[in-house]
Amino acid sequence: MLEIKNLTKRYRNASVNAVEDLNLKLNEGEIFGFLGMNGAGKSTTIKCLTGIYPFDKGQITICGKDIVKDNIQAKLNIGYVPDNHSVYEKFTGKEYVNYISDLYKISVSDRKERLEKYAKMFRLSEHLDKQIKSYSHGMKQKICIIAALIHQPPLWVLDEPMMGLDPQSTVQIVRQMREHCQKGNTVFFSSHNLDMVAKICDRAAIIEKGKLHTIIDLHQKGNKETLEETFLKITAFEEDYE
Amino acid sequence: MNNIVTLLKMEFLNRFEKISIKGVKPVLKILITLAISAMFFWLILKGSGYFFRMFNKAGLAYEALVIYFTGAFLFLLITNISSTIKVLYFKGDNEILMRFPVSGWEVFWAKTIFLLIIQVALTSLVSIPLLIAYGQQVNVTASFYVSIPAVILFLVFIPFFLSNVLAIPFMHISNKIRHHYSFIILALTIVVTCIFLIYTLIFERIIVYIRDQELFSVFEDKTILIISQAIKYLIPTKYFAGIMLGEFDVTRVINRETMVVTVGSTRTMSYLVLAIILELSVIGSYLVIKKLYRKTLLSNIEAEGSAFKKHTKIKRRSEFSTLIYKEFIQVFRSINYSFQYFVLACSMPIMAYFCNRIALSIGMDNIGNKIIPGLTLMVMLIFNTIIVSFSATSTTREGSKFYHTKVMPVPIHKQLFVKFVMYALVSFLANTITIAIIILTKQMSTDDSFVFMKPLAIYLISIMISSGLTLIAMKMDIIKPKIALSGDGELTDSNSNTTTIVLIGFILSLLFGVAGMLIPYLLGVEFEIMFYALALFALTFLVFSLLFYFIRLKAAYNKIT
Repeated sequence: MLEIKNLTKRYRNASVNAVEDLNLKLNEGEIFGFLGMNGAGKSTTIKCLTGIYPFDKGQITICGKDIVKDNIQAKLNIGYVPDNHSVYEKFTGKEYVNYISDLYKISVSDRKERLEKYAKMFRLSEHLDKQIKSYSHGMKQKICIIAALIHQPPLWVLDEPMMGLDPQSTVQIVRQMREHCQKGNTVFFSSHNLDMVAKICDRAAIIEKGKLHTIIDLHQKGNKETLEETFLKITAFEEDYE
Repeated sequence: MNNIVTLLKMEFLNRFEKISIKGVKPVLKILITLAISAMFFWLILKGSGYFFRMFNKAGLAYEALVIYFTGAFLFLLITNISSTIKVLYFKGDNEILMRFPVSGWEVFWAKTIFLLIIQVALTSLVSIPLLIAYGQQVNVTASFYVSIPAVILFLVFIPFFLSNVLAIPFMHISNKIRHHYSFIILALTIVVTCIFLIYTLIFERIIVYIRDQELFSVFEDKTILIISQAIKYLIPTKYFAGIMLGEFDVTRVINRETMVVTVGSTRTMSYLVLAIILELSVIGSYLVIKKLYRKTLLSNIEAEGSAFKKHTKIKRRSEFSTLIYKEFIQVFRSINYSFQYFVLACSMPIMAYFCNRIALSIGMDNIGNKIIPGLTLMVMLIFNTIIVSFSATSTTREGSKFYHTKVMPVPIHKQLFVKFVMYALVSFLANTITIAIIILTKQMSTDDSFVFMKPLAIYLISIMISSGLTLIAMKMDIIKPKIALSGDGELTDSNSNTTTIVLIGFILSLLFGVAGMLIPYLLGVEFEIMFYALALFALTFLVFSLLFYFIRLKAAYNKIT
């Protein structure tokens, strides 16, 4: 589904790599958690794999399509929810989802059915005809999620998706992630919420200073319970040990 | 009191950069500002000199001063209402300030003092050279100059306090119409066109005066009577002139008869009336603020979050039309962007028509007829430059939504092509309407074989230059975008790319316009040959723009993060 080989990215004028020699392979039907401290390289990796950032070395393929060489086909397979829930705020919610549906060439009947389903699920139906400018942070996040799911992408990428969401919506997103995976799709999301990752993910990776430290199979006995401890051990400052 | 001083300091720090004289760059900046101010001062002095001399020759010197004060008063009143609404009532930093332990009253006073200081400075900057020019053209006594400070203070304070009274009803109206975008754009277009129209008509009269200064008066007798009658009703502005000039007799020639008319009002009467008006506006303003300020402020913070609602049907569009629809909505639902994109384009045909009319009024047998094609081209290119300058923020305006352009499954070239079409569309329409008006009103002579080719040549040159400028502006913004935007994600200040493209556009307008106007006239070069040469230059510029745009376009776009 998603394969990252030897990904290296360095920002202009930076002295160190933001991501270094990162290798990752995500399978169909799994929920994959991406963990790391602030500035560890989570968002950079996500922005490279969605085509936002160019990278220096490596290869990223989505459903077998190279994000650099065959970028349009690769992007058609991704649904992306950014961390800053930035959307075109002059659109109404419905206009925005319709705009995204046009770009992904979704039939009118499919977009109608999916919009109705997701708007109901996230309790956004009453606000769809309102300009996004008037939405709260949580509502903007929800409209981003709906827009990302409207074309039922094989790979659903979310950057810090639970931030600013009410508990009901968080539950709905988790439910949606599971439903999405049951259809054979993949979910890849970054988070600081270790409990959440332990609870819903099949596997999780920990990234530290741009390097992939470990990949943990959360179905293996004991790994769920020790995820927090493992994460803290990897990311701890030296003085924490002293 | 301490809180007011602190808030006032904050207001100044927020609006102005700290002046420094350390280093070459800040000193250079100060020198350039001083030079620009001096030039501005000189321009007002010269320009208003012609204006007042023209009126003085018709025996309308007093009326000219009242007209100036009326214009200044209305301008200050409108800008004050707008500033009062923005500074005192709209969210801005009010939401932040309301969280601090400062009273609404202190916030109000700090902002009021700030507005007053700025108004006194700006009004003095414009009025002093203008009144000096008046003194040079009309015989005035020393009391004219002595009264300047009093007049400036009245001119600032009366509109200021009146604007406080009027701001609340104006704000309620603006809150009511804030989502009626078509109405606002239409109203803005009408207002801007009217301002251009008035400006051009006055300019036309001044040109007639400059051309033939031997002429007794550029005004017809009927016009003189209308102006002198209308001035009597201009309250309170006629009293500003009253303070400066007092009551005096003037000699006028109406219907070939010389008559002596008493104009103006006594100084005592003028001071008294203005003092009463000022007092009434202060009381009115105090009552409005005391009763309604905090309440309105809070309700307005709430109203700003009110949602624009529109029921739309879900329908499928092609990739191209959905992208152009998105661009259109982003512009159309922003008053700021609409103004830059639509409003000036609407004014272009009118300005080109009136500029040609002025040129023609110089004389059909003189140079007027010969300079018309070049002048039309210059006016069209200047307006094209202003319209095109909007494309210099095409990437920047995406702001935090820029990631969308990278994530969407649409090639970058196609996305940028849509933007180009969007910008080209409005300048194409403006150019077409302008040239159609010029053909229909027969502003270009029909006495040579090039009769059909003239408008076509001007049109093609204008389109080529405007397309070339659009491509350069878009590429410049891709190479050096300023992605971080303020406020609700809209661009508030134009970036350096806008300044550069306007500069390039104006230089080209001047070069093409001057070449089109003067070379056929001065060197006797055939018009046809001149315009073939200009078309060739325009084509070369377009080719250069295409190369500049396409070379390493994708690489430059991918670099933006």
